[in-house]
Amino acid sequence: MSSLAATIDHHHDPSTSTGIPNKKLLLWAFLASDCMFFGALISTHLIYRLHPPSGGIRPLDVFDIQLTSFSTFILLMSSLMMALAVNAIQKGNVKSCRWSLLTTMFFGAIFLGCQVFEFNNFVLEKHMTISNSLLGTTFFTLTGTHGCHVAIGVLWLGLMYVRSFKRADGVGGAGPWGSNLLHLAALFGTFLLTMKFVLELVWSLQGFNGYAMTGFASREFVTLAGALVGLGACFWFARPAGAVDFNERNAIDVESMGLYWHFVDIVWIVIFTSVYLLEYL
Amino acid sequence: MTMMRLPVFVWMTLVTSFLIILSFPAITIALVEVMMDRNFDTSFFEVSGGGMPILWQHLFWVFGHPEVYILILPAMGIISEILPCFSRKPLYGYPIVVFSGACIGFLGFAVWSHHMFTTGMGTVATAAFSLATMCIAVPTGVKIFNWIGTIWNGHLQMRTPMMFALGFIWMFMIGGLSGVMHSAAPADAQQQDSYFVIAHFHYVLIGGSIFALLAGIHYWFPLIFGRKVSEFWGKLSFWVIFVGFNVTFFPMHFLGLNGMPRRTFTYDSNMGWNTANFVSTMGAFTLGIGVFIYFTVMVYTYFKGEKVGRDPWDGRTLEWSLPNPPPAYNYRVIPTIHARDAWWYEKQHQEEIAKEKAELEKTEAAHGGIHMPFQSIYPLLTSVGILVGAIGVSAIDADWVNPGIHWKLGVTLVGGVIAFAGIYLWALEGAEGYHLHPEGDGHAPTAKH
Repeated sequence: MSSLAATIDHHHDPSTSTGIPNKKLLLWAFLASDCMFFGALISTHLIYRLHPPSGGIRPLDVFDIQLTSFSTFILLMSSLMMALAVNAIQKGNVKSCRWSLLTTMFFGAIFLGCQVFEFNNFVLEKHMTISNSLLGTTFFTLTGTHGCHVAIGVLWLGLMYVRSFKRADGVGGAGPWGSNLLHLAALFGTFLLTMKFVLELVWSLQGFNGYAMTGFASREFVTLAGALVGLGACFWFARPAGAVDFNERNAIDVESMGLYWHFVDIVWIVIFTSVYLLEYL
Repeated sequence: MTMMRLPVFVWMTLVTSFLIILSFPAITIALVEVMMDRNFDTSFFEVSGGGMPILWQHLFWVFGHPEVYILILPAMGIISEILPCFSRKPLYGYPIVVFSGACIGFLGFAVWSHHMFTTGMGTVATAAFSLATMCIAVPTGVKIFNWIGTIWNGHLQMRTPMMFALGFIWMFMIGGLSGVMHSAAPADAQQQDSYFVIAHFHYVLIGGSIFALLAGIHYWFPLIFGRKVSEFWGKLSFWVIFVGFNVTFFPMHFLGLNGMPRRTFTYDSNMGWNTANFVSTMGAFTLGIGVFIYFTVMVYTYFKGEKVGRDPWDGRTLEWSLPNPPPAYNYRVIPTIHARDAWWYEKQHQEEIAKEKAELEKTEAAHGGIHMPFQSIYPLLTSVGILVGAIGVSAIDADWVNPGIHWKLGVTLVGGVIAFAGIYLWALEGAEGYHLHPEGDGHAPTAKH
């Protein structure tokens, strides 16, 4: 590892005329495009904020600033973990990189869970749907698009995490179709089942929409059992098994993914400010 | 190599890439919003729900105006390659041409509302966009003067690509001048939605973009297919297209100023528009015949045309240094660029270049030969997946009650899974590729590992 550290310069790529690695340049170009993408959506929301239809739903009657502040904080912390993952792999520390990737995914999943909870709450309790008000139209389209970006980011993180187990000798598992895909399936299965379990636990505790604590255990036993089996499978797939083909040379891959993740976070800061905080001024 | 030694066509493609990256998201969002309105009952542009249709116009033109520069900038690049070649002179004022192109790219984002002068944006906005639009005419005019400077005192060779290029300058200038007329908001209020606008944008898009593309196809045809289009048939197609185009679209200036509205399929016969419309129709047939001749000759040339060797135009840029047809790996030795007209320089300094190439060849051989990518099946798999998914999204009728929706979702998901598998396996394959060690100038690689 230390011999590699001397040969790889993570801040300058002599093989390109700009000194920026091609993968990073591609990501920057994509993010520039995504800026305009979110720019158009946020503009739409702000324009209709200035020209609200009479008798429409008022944002303050709907928003729950405590929950959103919490999920915003979690998303910001996920950016910290992402930065730590990049730092770890640049130093060749694969194990630390993996834990940071998993934590980033975990925080991303908490954010997504909060969004699912929030959307449910807005539609069923506050009676704001995508079609019954202009606020619902712009709010759900904008934050939903951002949620899709976070979900794609979590998927990408999971792919990178599983990629880090690719064995250097090429043996073990059944090639790309076998262990890799199964590992992915276990990882995402665990995440989805855990999310479902936690959300329904919260709904049951709140006695929300027909959910009640009575009967919760029997209803959710299978989900919990599935999540635990998935977790076990994840541990099994992550068992130490020889040298891996994932090291400092892959730092650029992790860093490019990090650019995307930080960008999605920054977009959320803008959305949180202009969609939520602005209403509390 | 430095940026200021890039061919102008490459420069203009770079500017166009920025325009594409930054302007397409606006139309994406506009289309997403209209899709949400149509399929999910939202009210982005639905007046009864509080939406404002004018927002659609803004989002559309934030994309739409940069889009016209996406169409014209590569055309300007093509012209800037062809004119010097057939004028036997370097491009006049290269840095200014490049800077003007970049300037057009920037300003292109600040003029979209000139398509909306009659929507009642208010005087400040109208004046600002009017001013910005007049500004964007400046770099465009600068380029036209540079092209005139390029052919000035040159030994003009009137080959077919040059004819189209000269036609471009003239036609694009007419379109540009009527464009400046639109930039004055009061005048535009008269011209809006009339045939005058039709005449304007056909002069910039057919007389401009299409003429440049026709010139470029002629110019690079020998490089791509190893055969040259006959000068007689090429020039004949140029003249028929040129005459047909002008007869079709020039009368529309008068029709528009006489009040004929666009997007109206018929009109009263006593409006005095009959003759001009008849002339236009005849011109359209002529234009059609011209385009038919052009492409028929292309197809004929592809099979039976005169074969040519390397560098048939005695060109100035590096693509002409390649053997004909070009080998899959393009350059055996990555060339060192000594001048803007790099191939011209190489032809003037053959000994120096031969020595340099021999040196470079040794270094590259020491590095393991020419690196080639894997001949991978996965890009194809990925695009097939995207195709299947796109057919699912767009071509299958979704009836929310009947099985249609299951078909639609099913096909879309299958396409998505195929595309995802393609990308995944492609990524696992890695980027190692293989190396070639060609001998001499030939095409056949002698060793492969």
